[in-house]
Amino acid sequence: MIKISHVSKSFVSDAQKVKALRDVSLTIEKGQIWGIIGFSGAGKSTLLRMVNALEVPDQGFVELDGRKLADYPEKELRSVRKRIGMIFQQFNLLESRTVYENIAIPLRLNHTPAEQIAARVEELLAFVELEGRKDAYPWQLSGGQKQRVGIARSLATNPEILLCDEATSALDPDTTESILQLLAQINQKLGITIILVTHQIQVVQRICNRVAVMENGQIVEQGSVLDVFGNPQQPITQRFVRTVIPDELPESLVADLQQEKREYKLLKLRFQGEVAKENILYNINRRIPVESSVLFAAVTELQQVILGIFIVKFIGPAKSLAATTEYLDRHNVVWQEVAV
Amino acid sequence: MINLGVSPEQLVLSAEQTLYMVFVALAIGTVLALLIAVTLVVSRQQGLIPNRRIYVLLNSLVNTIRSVPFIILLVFILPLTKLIVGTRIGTTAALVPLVVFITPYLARLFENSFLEVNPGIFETAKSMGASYWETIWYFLLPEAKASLILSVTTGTIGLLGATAMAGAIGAGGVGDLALTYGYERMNFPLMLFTVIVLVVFVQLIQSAGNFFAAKARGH
Repeated sequence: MIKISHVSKSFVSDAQKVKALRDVSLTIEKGQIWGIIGFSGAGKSTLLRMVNALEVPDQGFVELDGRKLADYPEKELRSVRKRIGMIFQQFNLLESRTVYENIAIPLRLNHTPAEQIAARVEELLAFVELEGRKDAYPWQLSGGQKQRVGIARSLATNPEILLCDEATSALDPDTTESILQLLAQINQKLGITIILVTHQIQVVQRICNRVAVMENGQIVEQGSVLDVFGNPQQPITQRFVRTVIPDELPESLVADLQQEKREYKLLKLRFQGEVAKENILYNINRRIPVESSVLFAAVTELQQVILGIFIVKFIGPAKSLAATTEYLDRHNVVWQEVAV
Repeated sequence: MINLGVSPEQLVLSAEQTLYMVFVALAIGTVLALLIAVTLVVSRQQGLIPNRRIYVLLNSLVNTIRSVPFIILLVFILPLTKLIVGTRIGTTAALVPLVVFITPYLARLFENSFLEVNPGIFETAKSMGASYWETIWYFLLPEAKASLILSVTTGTIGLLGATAMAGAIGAGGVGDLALTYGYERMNFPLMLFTVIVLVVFVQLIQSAGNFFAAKARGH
């Protein structure tokens, strides 16, 4: 378990003090995949670097399995870092070394005997599907292959935690997808806890089960991906989520609504899980004298759970409209009125 | 065959003296320069172990020595030469000023080679739990290797030029041969011959440097 508690950190750049982190707290359980999302400068990379003590907090503390990182002497801290793998946006491979040599470095640092290194590197090459490329140099590899080498290198010493610093940001969408699949596999097969810093919401949507949204050095929203994506609270979260799960009416429909003379209510409904499979609208129409028309619908699957967002126009007398919202409440449908 | 005005033995001796001065001074200078360059890079503000005092001291020392033209350095440090090798004249005596000349020059070239290394590598090393020594040994040196080889090549050629002046303290060598027998006796064929020899030397050194640098880069 990783516990980040009330951590603050400032940097001095150009004689100006920049607050990178302000009172950030986060608890990460073993086996989770956390996505830390935010725009550049939000402090997410600084937060990530707190976990392996590449950055040290000004205030607050970071705890690993119940022991504060600040309590480790430098030498022990180095062995802690060997239990935490890290991959980078720019891969940070040694350009003058072959794939084999790059993957072998952490093992050499551990003074692993040569035969064991050879066996382990072969094993890792197979895992990241780079068999036969062990004698290639980084300049002969594509971005995706370089990241695979980076991943193999980070896994060499069997870490418990893998830190990913914008690991897919330099890759094209197809390659990103294959790297994300590999990361998911690492989490499932090896049980490694993954913390992933990104500005791409698709990455979080694709493999994370937890998400923390950062802005101006603070975590403004955190929780399960399903909860946060299903019902984003903060404006920045809504902005991110909207790019993958749209929930706004097209302009032309808004114009039409302004012409509407009848009494109506415009509701945004969120169906999640089992609720999404029930015939809510049918049942409302059958029981309550309202006319309903679906203006917008989006259905997404998150963590094997169906998330449906509908914007529905209910037309009818005030009494029926009230009965409609009451019915929705009773059936656990999250709704909110949409203003046009 | 054209008469060069000197015996073949003299030519061979001069070549030997030059090679001796270049390679001994280069070997000692390279080791010292590596130590200085690593210290400079490590102690700089953005380095692994920032230490302003050490950085400023070494940096000024390198700049100071590099400001002195070799021919002046050669005679200026004669007392030091005497102290170290026991004599002020001869080929071996020339090694002292040559080392003093080439060390800061190489140190500066090496420092640049180190600064070309992707800084992300150091963070990667740290994240792997590497100690400072391991970072230098497993990350900094291998990544800078190709560039270091080219720096040594440049340094070797500079050193070759400096040996010509070492004749001033009786060190001999190809350059001295050209000056004393070629220039002073107005022996143009000998002059031309030594120039050709030096050009060939430089070409060989540069080609070898390029070859090994490319090899170090995995090309």
